[in-house]
Amino acid sequence: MIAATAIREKIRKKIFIAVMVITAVLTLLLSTGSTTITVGGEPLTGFGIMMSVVFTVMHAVSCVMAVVISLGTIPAEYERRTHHLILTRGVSQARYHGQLTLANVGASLISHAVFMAGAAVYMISQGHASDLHRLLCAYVISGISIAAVSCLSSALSLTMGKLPAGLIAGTVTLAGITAPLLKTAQSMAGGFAGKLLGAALFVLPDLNSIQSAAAKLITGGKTEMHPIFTGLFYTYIFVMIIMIYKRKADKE
Amino acid sequence: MKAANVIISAAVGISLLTGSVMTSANGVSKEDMACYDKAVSLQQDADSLGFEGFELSDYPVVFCDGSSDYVVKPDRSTEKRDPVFSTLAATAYDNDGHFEVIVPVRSTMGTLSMIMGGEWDEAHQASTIWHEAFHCYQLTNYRENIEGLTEGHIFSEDDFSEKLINDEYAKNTKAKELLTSQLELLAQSAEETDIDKLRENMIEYKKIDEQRRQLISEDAQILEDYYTVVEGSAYYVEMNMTKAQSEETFEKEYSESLGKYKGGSAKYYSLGGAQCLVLDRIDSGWKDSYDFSKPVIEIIYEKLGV
Repeated sequence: MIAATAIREKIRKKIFIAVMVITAVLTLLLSTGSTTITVGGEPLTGFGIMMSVVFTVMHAVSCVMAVVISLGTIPAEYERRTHHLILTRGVSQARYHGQLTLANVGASLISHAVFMAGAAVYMISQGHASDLHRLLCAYVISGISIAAVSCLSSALSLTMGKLPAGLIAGTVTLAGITAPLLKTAQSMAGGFAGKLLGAALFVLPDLNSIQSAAAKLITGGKTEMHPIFTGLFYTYIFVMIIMIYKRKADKE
Repeated sequence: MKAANVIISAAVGISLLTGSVMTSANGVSKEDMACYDKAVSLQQDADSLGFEGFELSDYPVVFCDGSSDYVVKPDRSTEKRDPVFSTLAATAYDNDGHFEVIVPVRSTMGTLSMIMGGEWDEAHQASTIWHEAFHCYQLTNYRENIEGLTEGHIFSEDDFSEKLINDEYAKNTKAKELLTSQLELLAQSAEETDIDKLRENMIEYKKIDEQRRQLISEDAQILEDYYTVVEGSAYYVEMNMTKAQSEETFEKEYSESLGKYKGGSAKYYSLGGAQCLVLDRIDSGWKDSYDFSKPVIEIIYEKLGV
């Protein structure tokens, strides 16, 4: 009930709708062939390559959207003192925070679904309508990554101020999306810097691997299970923090 | 939380962690294994080059990612070990007297190429494996001759890592101009079918070479010979392995840039590689007896009586 109300509230927010529309338009422009992506001056025109690029961009934007959507929900409840109404009716903090997090995850996945609709349009326009079920599977897999980011943002917003929570969530998300670049930097750096980057990569969720596993499904490749299990494990850890952490009732 | 909830939560967490650990990479990735198989499939093309006893299957191939080394042994069995280099490396590694091919994992090379505006596919990785395998072959069979190229001269790590070469040409624009002319002549000659025209080109090349060598230090000359022999010949193998996989890639990434000046030691890769291609025009059987004790250009001069 709490989650359903919170999702409805989020979807009604004008900023949410505006960002969704703008990003969906950009996605459609990107995926309907009116723009040409080039790498090293060479156009990337093949369906498989284009689809991978489109999917990577959408996944990255969805992750950022998940941070934006999830960061303010719990602090807003405390700022508006709504928590008093809920907690005094015998609802535990764990359940309350859990429901709000569920709302964050739900809203983030709806946002992600809009981007996937853009990808679906591209697939149909390219004559790959029969492969739409693959896109649905890819949505489910990449949804793990979106859920992890949403839960992380929710957990951070519960345990610390909005600014540090936003900075940490943004940094972790960016690192997760650009994990291959960081791995390359780690390989090239060596020494202490390399070890430091290696440790960071070991601890941070590799969102790119989840996206790659999902993208492989679209192009008919065999997906890897490791990123899926790891993504789910990270989500579990963040959910556990949310369920266990007790926020002081008067904390704003 | 109630005891039942705690038990269920713990069970979910343990299951997910177990799933993550059980599915983690313990060996060579599928894409690197595919590159290895691709490289092995090119053995016949390598045989046709004519370097006697040059077999990829003589050397383990190691894919490194900075955190671990993934070794593919000649029998295709694999193992994971601590990295011998903590940084990105493509080289021949002396592991207790037996050389190993070391190349970065394909995903790392792919990301690096993407940043630089290019691409790194299976063919690139396979060609690189052959390049490094050729170093293993050189060092296994002709180590003394190769060490003889720099005998009596002590170079620092910095010199070998391009500092000396860069400094030499940064301050000497005339030498750079002359070297560019030489590279252009070699690139033309590599395509030349008229032996008389080729001889004329080589006479011109030798004249410019003598002029240029007077402008650069003795150390730079020795490093040039070392690189053209060791890296130039490996580059020749790499070019041929690429050509065997895709004429188009060979034209785009090697042939078109062969006659162009490049920074660092890369210019000597082209210089040495182009010399090998020119010698192929004169006598493709030169590899039967080549022992890496002198630059290929000297054999060209001998064969043409220049």
